[in-house]
Formats: sequence, structure tokens, C-alpha cells
Amino acid sequence: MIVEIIVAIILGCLMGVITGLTPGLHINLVSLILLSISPILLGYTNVLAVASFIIAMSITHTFTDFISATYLGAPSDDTAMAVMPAHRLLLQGMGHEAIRLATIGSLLCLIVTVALSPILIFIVPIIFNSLKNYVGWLLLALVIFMILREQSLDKKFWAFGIVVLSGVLGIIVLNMPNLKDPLLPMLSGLFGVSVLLLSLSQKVKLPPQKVTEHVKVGMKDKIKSIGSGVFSGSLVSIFPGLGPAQAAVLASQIVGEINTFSYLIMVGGINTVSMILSLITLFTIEKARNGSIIVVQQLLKNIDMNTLILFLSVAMIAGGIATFLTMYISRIFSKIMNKVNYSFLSSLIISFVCFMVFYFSGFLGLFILFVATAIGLLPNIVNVSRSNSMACLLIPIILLNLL
Amino acid sequence: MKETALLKIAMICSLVGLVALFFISQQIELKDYEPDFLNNKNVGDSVKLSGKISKVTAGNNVVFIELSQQAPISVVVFTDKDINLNENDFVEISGKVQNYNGKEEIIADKIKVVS
Repeated sequence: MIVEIIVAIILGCLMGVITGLTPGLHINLVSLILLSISPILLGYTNVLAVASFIIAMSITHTFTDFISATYLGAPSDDTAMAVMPAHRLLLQGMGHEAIRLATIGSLLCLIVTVALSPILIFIVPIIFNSLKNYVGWLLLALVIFMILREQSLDKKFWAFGIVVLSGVLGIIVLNMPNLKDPLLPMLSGLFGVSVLLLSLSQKVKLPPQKVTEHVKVGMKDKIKSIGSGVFSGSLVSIFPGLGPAQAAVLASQIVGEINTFSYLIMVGGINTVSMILSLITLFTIEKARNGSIIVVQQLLKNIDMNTLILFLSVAMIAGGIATFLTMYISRIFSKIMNKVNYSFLSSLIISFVCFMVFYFSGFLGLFILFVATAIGLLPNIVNVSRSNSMACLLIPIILLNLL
Repeated sequence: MKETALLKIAMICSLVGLVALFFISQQIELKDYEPDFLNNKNVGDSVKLSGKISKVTAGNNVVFIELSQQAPISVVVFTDKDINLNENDFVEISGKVQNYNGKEEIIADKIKVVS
């Protein structure tokens, strides 16, 4: 059995690289395809190997999706909040540094979460049962805080406007019947295409990308970032409806002023922690908070302690492999970015995102992409925080919880 | 943190994971985890699946098949024709989930021998 699991981990890591680097290709989609062909797969291998493949892919994806978010400016729902700071570093020739910081966050948060798992197993059910009815209020307070923290009255007004526009867009898009992959056009428009269009309009020239290690984050900041990454990543898994992007908004409000470097470590960690915690919630409260872990649940129903330990081991192996793969691929991307014309690349990526949106969501998806891009341009024009656009996910979840 | 330090931590992380995997994999009984194909379906759901036939029993206008999976799936084919199905045939089946005596099984609408 162990050989089958190791092979599954390696294949899962490779698939995680593909899903992480391809904008629009989500691990949930691959996991669902696996579930649908599982009767055939299980004729050749065992169910734990299939589950290990999914876990290894999911963990690797949380490392590698920062590459496309940073170099291509194409975010997923996990990396939406990291695009701007990572893109900023890219425009300073420090794309590889951004990836390194996010990878540090992912790996260290993974290790800390696994180390804390014996405690989390006891804490998670207690937190879940005592706070599950207050998610809506918590997020509402967060949105109000996001608006109020803008400096001037004028900016507060614009932030409110962006929250309302993004929220209404989210409500409409997430309730559209027969729309496949609604998050792809919405988040690509708000956080991806709008950023790339701004770069194009400002005729941004990408400086040579250097593979450097100049950025140093102090131990205190590192601990703060890892701690808030583990805390907010845990919230994602415990509370229904809360995603990594919302957790990033929440965490950035909790930790207060942190620099871009510490922020990237934190955001890098959140996605990985939420994946590990999903396994723990599957064991403790029998709830999977994540698309790919839902597929694991469908394959196995419930998991016992030994299987949880096996999956945590799989996550550790995959996390180690993913670190090597991410740093290696980031170096390749750095070299490629030095050779290509950034304006041409931005146009190419916008076209590719449009193609993916059309492929997955049709003409309606393209229309959503257009509207979301228009809203996504606003924060830059009126100079308020782009995180206000996360209302597209926060408002629907608030309404779902409070109404 | 330097990249070399990061990669060293990654290496240690993977090795610790491998050691844990080695020990824990000896403790797990695979039969504890039967693939849950039918448990996730409701009675009346349409399903499509493929697999190898492990057992065939022909009755009067009905053929009972057991599909070889970790948890064998029972398939019932009602037919007034002679159908030639053998053990080890790889088949594709479409049908509906039904509960019979507390056990879920598939009533096949369509069955196709793939190899």
C-alpha cells in the first residue's frame, strides 16, 4: 500500500503544479473528475491512494498558485488578496522574492498546523459549536471596519460604493442558475484583468527579474505572520462559507499594520492551513470545508485517527516536494519574464483568461468578466483599498447567514 | 530565511512525513475504507459506472452481477433476452439506485461489455 500512496503523492504534486499554473483550472474540478472515474481507478489501486493523490494535489496547488498570481496576475479565489502585493514586488523586479515569501508562509504554516493538530482536534469542535451562529455578524463587522479604516470621508464614501457594487455583483453571479464556475469570471475581473489593464494603460515596463534573497523578515514579524496565517486559515475550515480570501481580509485587520513581505508570508500560509484544517474538521466534526476534501469525504465517508495521521503525513511529504517545485518553477518564470515583452504578455494573459472564462462559463461569463473588470478598476482610480472588492464574496455570505 | 534554509526545512518536512507514513500505513486496514459509490447516492438516482464482473448469476429473466470493486456493487439486469456476460468482463453500466432488503443495488437500464 505504501508504494501506491507514494506514487499517488508524486503524481498528485505534479497535478498540483498544473492546476496551480493554469488560471481557471481548479483542484475541485480535477477532484470531481477523479470521483467520477473512481470506479475505474479503484479497479487498479486502493481508495487511500486516490485520496492521497487528491490531498497531495491540493497541498501543492496552495504553493504553486502563487506563481500564476504573481507572474501572470491571474488570481484564484485563494490568491485574490495576494495579487496586488505580489504584483507590486514583480514591478520592482522581485517576483521570485514574492514567491519565496509565500512559500515560506505555506511551508511553515503547514508544519505549525500539523504540529498543533493534536490540540486542534480538541479545540475545533468547541469553537465550531460555540461560534457557528455568529459568522454573519463577524463578517458584517469586518466589512464595516474595512470601510471605516479608509482615511478621508471621501474615500470612505468610495469604499462603501465599491463594497455595494461588488456585493451586488457577488449576489447576482453566485445565484445565477446554470452558470458554471461563477468565481472564475468574477474574481478574474475584480483582481486579475483589471490589474493587468491598469499595467497596460500605464505602459508599465517590467524591470529585469532577479533571483535574489535581499528581503529579510524579522523573527517577530515572521512569528506574527505565521501565527495569524494559522489562526485565520483555521477559521476558513471551521466556519462555513468563509474562504481563504475573506480570511486574508480578516487576518490583515487583526494583525494591523504589517509590511508587504510579512503579508505575503501570511497569505501564503492561509491557503495551506485551510487545506490541512479541512482534514481535521473532516475527522472531528465530519464536515469537509473544501471542494477537494469533500471528494475525499465522498470516497471514504468518515476517517479515523490512523487515517488522519496518514493524510497529515501525505500533506507533509507533498508540502516538502511542493516547496522544491515552486522555487524551481519560479526561477524558470523569472528567466522567461526577462525575455518577454510585458505588455505583450499581459495582453496574452488577458486573452487566455477570456478564453478560459468563455470555455467554462460561456458568453454570460464574458459579460460578468467585463462588469467585474469595470468594478475592479475603481479602487485604483479612486485610490482606496482593493480588498473592498472582496465584498463580492463577503456580502452573499453575510446575507446567507443573517437572513 | 534563505532559500537553502527553506529547502532544507522542506526536505526534513518530507522525510518526517515519509517516516510517519511508513509506520501509520502498517496500522491501517484497507478494508475499513470501502469506496462509497452507492452510499453517496439516493434511491432513484441515475448512475453510470464501469468495472470488472466478479460474479454472474443468471435467473429467470434476470441476471445478477457483482462488480469487482473494493466494496462489490450488486447490479440487477432484468431482461427477456439471453445476455452473454462472463466473469472478468469489463462492463459499463447505466441504471438507477434501488434499496432492496436494506442494501443498495443498481437496477441496470443499459449494460455494455467494453472488453
